[in-house]
Parts: sequence; structure tokens; C-alpha cells
Amino acid sequence: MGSRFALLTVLVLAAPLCWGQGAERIMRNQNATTVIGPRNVPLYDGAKALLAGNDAEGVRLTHQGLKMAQGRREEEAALSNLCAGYIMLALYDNALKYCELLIARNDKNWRGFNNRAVIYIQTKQWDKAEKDLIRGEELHPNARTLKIARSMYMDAVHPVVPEIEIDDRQRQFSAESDPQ
Amino acid sequence: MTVNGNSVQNLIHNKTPTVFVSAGLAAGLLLGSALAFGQLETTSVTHFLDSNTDRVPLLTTFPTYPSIARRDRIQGQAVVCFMIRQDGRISRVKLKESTHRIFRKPVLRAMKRSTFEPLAPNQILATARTCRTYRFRLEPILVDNNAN
Repeated sequence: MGSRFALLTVLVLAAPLCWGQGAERIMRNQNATTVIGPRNVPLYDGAKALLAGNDAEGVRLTHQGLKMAQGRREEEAALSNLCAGYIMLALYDNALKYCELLIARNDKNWRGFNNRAVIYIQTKQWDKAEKDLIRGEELHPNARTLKIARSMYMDAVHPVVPEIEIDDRQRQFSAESDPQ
Repeated sequence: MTVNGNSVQNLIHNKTPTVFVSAGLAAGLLLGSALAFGQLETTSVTHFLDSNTDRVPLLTTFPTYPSIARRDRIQGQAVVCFMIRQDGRISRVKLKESTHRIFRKPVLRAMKRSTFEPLAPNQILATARTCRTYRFRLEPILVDNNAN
């Protein structure tokens, strides 16, 4: 369970929930009384299911969402979530297929590179993982998920053990030199 | 983690789970945590005591290696200066220097929770103010990655 959750944390699910919330906000700002929900309901529900850990259901709904996707953003969100969903199901070949579709569609989508790097890390293809991490970091240098994916890679390839040293033998920092 | 220490060097191996939960439905539904895969991690702690000082540590609280620093491979050190009161408790804790601000909180917290052996009522306080250095290191370990 712990490792499953940890895996979820490094995957990037794209944005259908936010779109729904964004639409709500716009309608409120316009003083409208109607609150609209997400445009692509299966995509929205699929993302929620994936986040809740219902991987198979999430993937199924996201497939539905992909079929009725309107526009580039929705399609990319669906592809990204399918890639993430299949990674969580440990079906890496399927995951790779959707990640590559996403990257082929938009080679500036850092989420695609992040998720594909995770696939490569899971399948121990270190060189490919490194390339995708570098590309993702170029596209979005401060993305936290990319940092986590980078740390997964580093822990696998260059593992370290933390050491803390407490040294009381400090004579140079005497009471005289210490600013009060 | 705390330890009673009067020896010159204490070596403690601490097993701490390093998973922490930090997930938010922010833009793009980005989820994050410090260390992936939630492995148990061993932190080695070494304490060098100053044999010249009049004051002997009674309880030394060790800082935890900050998980973000561990994730981003940040190493460094922090020097904390403080006053040892007659009853052995610590006061006027001040961070004198730190190579990275990420170490600030853990060292201050650890220092404030540490104590020294109290003095007898008629004893004179000789070196009441002193400093302690905390060094945070990440030591590489060997791994076989050829098993594809």
C-alpha cells in the first residue's frame, strides 16, 4: 500500500478536475446562478477514481473520456491520465503507448516526460529515464513531481544513506566571537 | 531521536520511515511526496563530544535529515550557539551559520530539546556559552544496477 501510494505521488494526472472548478468560478464571477460541472464527465470521474486508488475503474472511465474528448487539452489530459493509470496498474507497455502518444502530440508536455521517466525507472531503463527527466526539467524546471521522479532515479542509480554528525569540539565559535 | 551520552563518540543507527503525505488537488493535479517508494531508511548519527568543556551533555536530541534535502541531495552543515544554564537546560539558541536554510529548523529544534548535566549550586559556570556543529551528509552506497 505504501509503495502504491508513493508511486501515485510521482505520477502526474492532468487537469479535468480543475477545468470543472475553473468553469464554476467563471460562472460565479459572472453572477450566474447556474454552476456547471466538468465538461467531460468521464474524464473528470476517471481522474477522481485514479486519485482514489481505483486504478482499473479510473482507466476505464478515462478511456471513455478520451473517446468524447473535445479539443487538444482534453485529449492530452486523457492520454496523460491513461499513462499514469496504466503505470499504477503496472501495465508498463500500455502506459508507454499512451505516454508516447501524448509526447508525439505535444513534445512540450512535461507531464508526459515525467510519466514516461517513471515507466523507465520502473522497468530499469536508466538511460532512457535520465533523458526524459532532463527533457522534463528543461520544460518545467521547478516541477515538484519531476524532482520526486529525479529522486527515484537517483535512489535507484546513485543511492545514498544520510549521515548526521554532531560536533561539540568547536573552539573557533567561542563565547567571545559569538554575536549576541 | 534522543540519546543519553557521556562517551566520546556515539554511533546510532536510526530506522525511520520516510514517507510523508503531501497531496493536493492543485492546478494540474500534481501530487507530491518527498521520497518515493517509502523505503525504510537508516540514518547514521555520530556525536563528537568536547572533552575540554566543563559541561557534559546529558540528553542529546538528534535532528532528522530533512526529507527535501535528502530528496534533492542537499548536504551541508549548521552551527548553533547557545547558553547552558546552571540547571543544564539550553537557552538563547541562535543559528550562527548554515550552508542551507533547510537545515535551520531541524537543528534549532534538536538543540532546544537537548540538555547538559546540571551544576551543583556552589559550582561556578565556566564556559556557559558554546556552539555545536551539525553536519548533514549523504554517503553513497554501492548498488548493482546491471540486473535489467
